[in-house]
Amino acid sequence: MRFTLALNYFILAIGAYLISFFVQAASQTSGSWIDSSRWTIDASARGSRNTDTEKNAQTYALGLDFHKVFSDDSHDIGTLTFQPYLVKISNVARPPFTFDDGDDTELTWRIANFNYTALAQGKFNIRLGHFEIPYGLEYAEDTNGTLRQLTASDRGIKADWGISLNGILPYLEYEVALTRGSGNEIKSTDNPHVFSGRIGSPSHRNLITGISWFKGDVLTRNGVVERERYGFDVSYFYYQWQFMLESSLGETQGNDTSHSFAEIAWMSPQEHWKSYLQLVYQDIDVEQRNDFASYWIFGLRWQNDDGFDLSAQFKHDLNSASTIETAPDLSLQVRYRL
Amino acid sequence: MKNKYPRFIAPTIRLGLLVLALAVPTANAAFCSLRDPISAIQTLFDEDNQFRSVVTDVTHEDREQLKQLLPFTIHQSEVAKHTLYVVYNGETPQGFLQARSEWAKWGLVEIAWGMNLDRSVKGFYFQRCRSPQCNDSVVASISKALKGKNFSELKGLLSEDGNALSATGEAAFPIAPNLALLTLHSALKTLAITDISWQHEIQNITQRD
Repeated sequence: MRFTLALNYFILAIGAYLISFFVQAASQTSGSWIDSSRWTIDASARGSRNTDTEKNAQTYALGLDFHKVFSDDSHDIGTLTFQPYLVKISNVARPPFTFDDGDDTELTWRIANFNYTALAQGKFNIRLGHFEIPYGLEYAEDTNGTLRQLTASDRGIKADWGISLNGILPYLEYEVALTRGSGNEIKSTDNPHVFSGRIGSPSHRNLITGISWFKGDVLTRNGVVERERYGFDVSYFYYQWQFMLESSLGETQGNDTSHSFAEIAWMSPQEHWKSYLQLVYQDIDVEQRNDFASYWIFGLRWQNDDGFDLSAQFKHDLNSASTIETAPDLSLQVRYRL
Repeated sequence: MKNKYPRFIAPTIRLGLLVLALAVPTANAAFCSLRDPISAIQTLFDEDNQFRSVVTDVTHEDREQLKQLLPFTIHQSEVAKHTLYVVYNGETPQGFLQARSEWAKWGLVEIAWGMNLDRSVKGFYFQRCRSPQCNDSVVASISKALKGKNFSELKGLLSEDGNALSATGEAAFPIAPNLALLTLHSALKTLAITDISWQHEIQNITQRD
């Protein structure tokens, strides 16, 4: 684990140095790193309780959120987003495979990429690094570090290392990515990879639609899992209400599967309070039988104007199946962006 | 004796108290959610124009200075880093664009303001407005009344206490007066804070031009 941690720090240092070198070389105005940058420290503590087994687990995260735009005299060159987090988990029953076991501390990456934007005024950009897999509702909604999650669990990976082409055109937004399939770390075990993308209508509208695809081998603790998904998503905003739907068909290890997600959310006028209700249904054909699972999640979040954020979420199984991982869960989180 | 509270409660509270003790106000949204107003720039300026981001601190002093110019000011939470986009055609500056948020009864409305080099209004673009009222015909009507006006001309559309439209304003906005008032507030704050917080940058650009 120490070696992995040291390797991560080494990659981080080299990456930061190379990006700095190339961008400063390209920039005619040799501004400092502070120019056109934002940064903050992000700290959170989360407790979860499996309401069946009555076992508790904790997650503590401390990270840096850094954002910088590089520009020359008359146009932007690109944007660096850099979010390394030190995460400590304790008593976690099914930890992400990045962690050695349920009681471990690791350096993790939420987002760490450079989006080169100098080619076509935002219509055609090239992103390199660790970024969210472009798929479905996750593409437009920022759920990093929050209890509220959408559909990434169905694909087994939320963010990944790789390269993407992305842009905003007058009537559509798109991102197409080729990534490593290994999630947090760049690992070559069993040669994982993912080809994914989303093409959608403009995200500033009150009705947003999109189509997505995801195909590849995703690295897990037990080796790679072959996954293929084709989906559509729709979001509609009406005053303080938000309605979202995502549905997909595909295969997992050659077995047909489908997944549907619906959410209704409400925000207070000052947006200090947000509540949401999610309904999830998924099924998979295994050995000539159909397994399906469904559950609902209710969540509540309060945040003030000073970066303080409290949230709670309850997940309840409606139907469970042996081949689909779901567990009833009560979670609480306190978070502060310093 | 069995502890009746889950184990995570105590450390969660301890961390909460620690971060509260270290508290310095900051933004809630993670920076990965920041998006350049590409659609707004494409719509309000020529599609082939490029832009340069200038990030600056909007300070408490700026907020106070704005109070001298208007009967209202920006919200306390807006004292933070903000971006002014300088739009260019080749090497020649064409204008500015800034996105600002305004509170409506139903939540946040985000408006991107296109400004000419003399800081008159070039146009505006709803980047986020969750009311069906923010449709193309309402936008066209409000835009017609605002386009080309500078700060003092816009101020003339507002009542003295800033809470309503003036008689001239009522005549200028025949439909959706409440949305027009909100948009007018946003326009005035944007023009004023641009001149206050990006004064040095604007001087450099306009002198060079």
